[in-house]
Parts: sequence; structure tokens; C-alpha cells
Amino acid sequence: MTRWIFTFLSFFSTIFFPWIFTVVLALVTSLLEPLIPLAIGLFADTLYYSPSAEIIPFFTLYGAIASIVASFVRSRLKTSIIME
Amino acid sequence: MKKTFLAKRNAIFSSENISWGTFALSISVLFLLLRLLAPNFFWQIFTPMFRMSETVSEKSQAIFNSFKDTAELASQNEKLTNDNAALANENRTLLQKIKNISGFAPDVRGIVAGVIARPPESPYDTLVLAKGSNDGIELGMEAFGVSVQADAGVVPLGVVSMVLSNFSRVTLFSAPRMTVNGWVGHDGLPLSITGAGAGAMNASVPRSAGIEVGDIVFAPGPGMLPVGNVIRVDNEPHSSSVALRIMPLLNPFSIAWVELRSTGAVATSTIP
Repeated sequence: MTRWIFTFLSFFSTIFFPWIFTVVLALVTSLLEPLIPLAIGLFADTLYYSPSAEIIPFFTLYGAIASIVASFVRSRLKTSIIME
Repeated sequence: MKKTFLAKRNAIFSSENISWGTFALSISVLFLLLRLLAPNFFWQIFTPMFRMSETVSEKSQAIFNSFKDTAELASQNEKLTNDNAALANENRTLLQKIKNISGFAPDVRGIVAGVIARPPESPYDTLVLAKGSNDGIELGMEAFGVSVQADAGVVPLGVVSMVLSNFSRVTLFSAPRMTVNGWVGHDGLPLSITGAGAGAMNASVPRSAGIEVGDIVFAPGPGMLPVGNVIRVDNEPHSSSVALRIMPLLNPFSIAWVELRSTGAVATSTIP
């Protein structure tokens, strides 16, 4: 349920709140679901990316990096005694 | 005897295998495909949401403001009531003037379009407008806003960089890598204005030009139109030029309406 709420809030925030708030929310959600930053980054660029303003879709790029880092951290925690 | 029914399980699409992250990513990819394949339909879907977003931000602003000191609010209210009465009179006079003038110059005004998304929601220094080619908007048209600052009047904002049938996008002069030729100071010194992102712009002029903080920067519209103020002059000791940091006259975070005109003053080649 918590995952659902945070996932929904992240998408909601992309449209309704300034981008910095969305970034924080996506990073918090990545602790529960590592793919969320990538999904939110892709969604943000789908809404706002303009090829004329930037060559690189930064939100997708940073989202992918955050997802990779979150996945790595989770994999390390799974193999450690903290998650046991 | 009570029978026990077991639900059939799908080996491929089991809810246990699909995480919320995968689901969210699928939704994002779906929206991306929708934008690429049917951009006009995509914006039709999201326009009501952006309108709601605007309403939410206005309401939240009002709530935060209500926490201010009540005495201050009362005096402010009294002052605003007086101002309102004065402005209503002025408005009536101006409306009468417009009626008189519009008969002489019916084609002076361009196309007025509402802004659906602006910074910071739209993070690349762009504005998404609720009008497109069906309303006569063309690629390369110049966008103007109206500044409430004294004597600023109409302010050039950017150039139309994408047009769909019902929507269009304006790339602001402050967008990174956006370049436009303009002028600065009382003498109208020519300079090249470069976007720096987040509503700011940069330019470089010779040190001997004597440009100071507060000087007005102009961009081409019909003639020279003020676009921003010099807020900082960065001196490099060993350089013959100085870097100007320019703040726009019109805050891109609060633009609700823009006017679009084919001025021909800003070439589409200046859009990055």
C-alpha cells in the first residue's frame, strides 16, 4: 500500500508540483521501488522535454542513474545481515 | 459441505512478479509512445490536468498568504480597496481609448494564447501554449508578455519552436544555448544574449563600454523592446570584456498569457 501511495504521489507531483519536490519524492520512493526514478524521469521528459532547448533529456538520464544506484544499494542490503 | 475454490494463476502475468516500479515504468513508456505517435491527443489529455495544477497552486498560495499578520492584512485590504476604485476609473478610460484606437489599427495585435505549462513545472525554460496551427500559430513567431513594471510594456519572451494543430511550444530567450541579438544601455550597444537557464540570461560586452548594474537590455521585436535588467557585471582581471548577468523583466514562473506575432525579427536559426 505504501509503495502504491508513493508511486502515485510521484506521478501526481510531476504535474502538480515544482520539479524539485518531484525529485525528492522519487528519491524517497526509490528506497521502496528502485525503478520509480527512471519511470518518473521518463514521464517528466514525456511532458516537458523540448529537443530545441536541450539535447539530452536530463530527467530520464538522472532517473536512470538514481534507479541504478537504488538497485545497487538494495542488492547490497539483501546480501547483508541488515535485511535478515 | 463447504467447497474451497482456488483461483487460477497465470504463470506469465502473476501480480507477485510485477512490481509497482515495473508497472510505473510501463505507464511512462505508454505515455511516451502516446506523445510520439499522437501528440495532439496527448496534450488534449494533459491540458485539463495542467489547468487543475494551476488552480491548486493558486489555492495553496492563498492559504499560505492567509497565515500572515491579520492587522497587516486589514490595512493592506483598505489600501487595495482604494487602489481598486482608482484602477476601475482608469480602466474605464483606457477601454474607451482602446475602442477609439482599434478602429484605426485592427491588425496591430497578434494571437493571444493561454499558457498551459511554464517553469518550474516545465523545467527546460519553455512554455506550452493552448493554441496551435489551427489558430494561426506558425513556427518562428515571437512571443510577448506584458510586464506590470513601470514603462516596460510589452516584453519579448521567446520564439515558437514547435507547433501542433491545437498546441505549441515557446522556447524562452533564457533557455540554455538560445541566442538572440540585442542591445544594452542608453546608447544601444549591440550584444549577443545567451540563455543561462532558470529564467536568466548572459551576455558579454567590451569593458570600455561602461555597462553598469541596472542598465536595460533590449531584444528585437518591432524595434527595440526591453527584455531584462543587468543585475551583475562580472569583471575578469585579464580579459578585455565583461560578463553581464541579466534578469528578465517578466518572471517566466508567472506568465499566464502570451501574445504571438510574426515579427521576423528573431530567426528560427537562433533556436538551439
